[in-house]
Amino acid sequence: MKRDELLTVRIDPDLKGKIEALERTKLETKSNIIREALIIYIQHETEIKEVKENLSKRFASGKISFEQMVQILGYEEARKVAFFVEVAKKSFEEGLK
Amino acid sequence: MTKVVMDTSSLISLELIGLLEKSLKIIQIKIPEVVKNELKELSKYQDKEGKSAAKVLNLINNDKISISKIKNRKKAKELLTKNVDYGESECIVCCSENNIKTLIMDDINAAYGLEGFAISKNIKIKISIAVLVELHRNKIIDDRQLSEYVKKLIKTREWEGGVLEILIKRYLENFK
Repeated sequence: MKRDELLTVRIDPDLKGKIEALERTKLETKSNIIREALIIYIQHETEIKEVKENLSKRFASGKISFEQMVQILGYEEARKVAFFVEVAKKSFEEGLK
Repeated sequence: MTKVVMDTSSLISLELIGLLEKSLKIIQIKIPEVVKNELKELSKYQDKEGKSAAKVLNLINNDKISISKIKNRKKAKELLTKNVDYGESECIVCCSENNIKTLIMDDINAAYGLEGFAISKNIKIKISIAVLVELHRNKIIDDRQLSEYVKKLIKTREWEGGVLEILIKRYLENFK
């Protein structure tokens, strides 16, 4: 089994106060609270990344419209995906013309 | 001969698959000084990208790729964002100052950040695959080689499983 590694991070005093309040109410150590928060955050971000990748691929395959993509990803993120697909398509179809 | 400006990532992409020098038969490449500096930094590493950067530098030192000094440094600075660094901003300013209408870059986040300026200056942004398509169109590489080089590029650049792979599959079906 791999040994845990030490990670040092700087946080503002307000956040530290909130962690300490949780420490008291949950009867958990600060380390456990932060570790659990990190695991949830990373899982969430990984899932969002997968959703974005799947949607992008469906859009590139013509299976969903730009509007459908906007509904799920929001306008700015959908625009970015559409831009990438457009640049890639033009690179294939036009070469350097 | 098509004139293009290329950023560090796209130069490395073509060199990694061994097509950069061959590309010089059909394209005239200009880069801003900052790209040369980025390549020098990369060449200090002994990994595959570092070795490719050293080969690109050889082409620059032998005047096969030309360097352009940016005049409008202020504009290049204005274009900087969290996704666009000096390498990319000077590339698009280089296009504008030298009346070059094609910018090749493989960093899509940076390309997105430069979209507005590119539209205003009528500059087309393409990814390095456009050079492969052009080599094929000019019969420098055949159907089989195009397919192999594209697959090699995807693998080398770790673009597997993404949007690009879907488009590539669709495009390469035309050459089966």
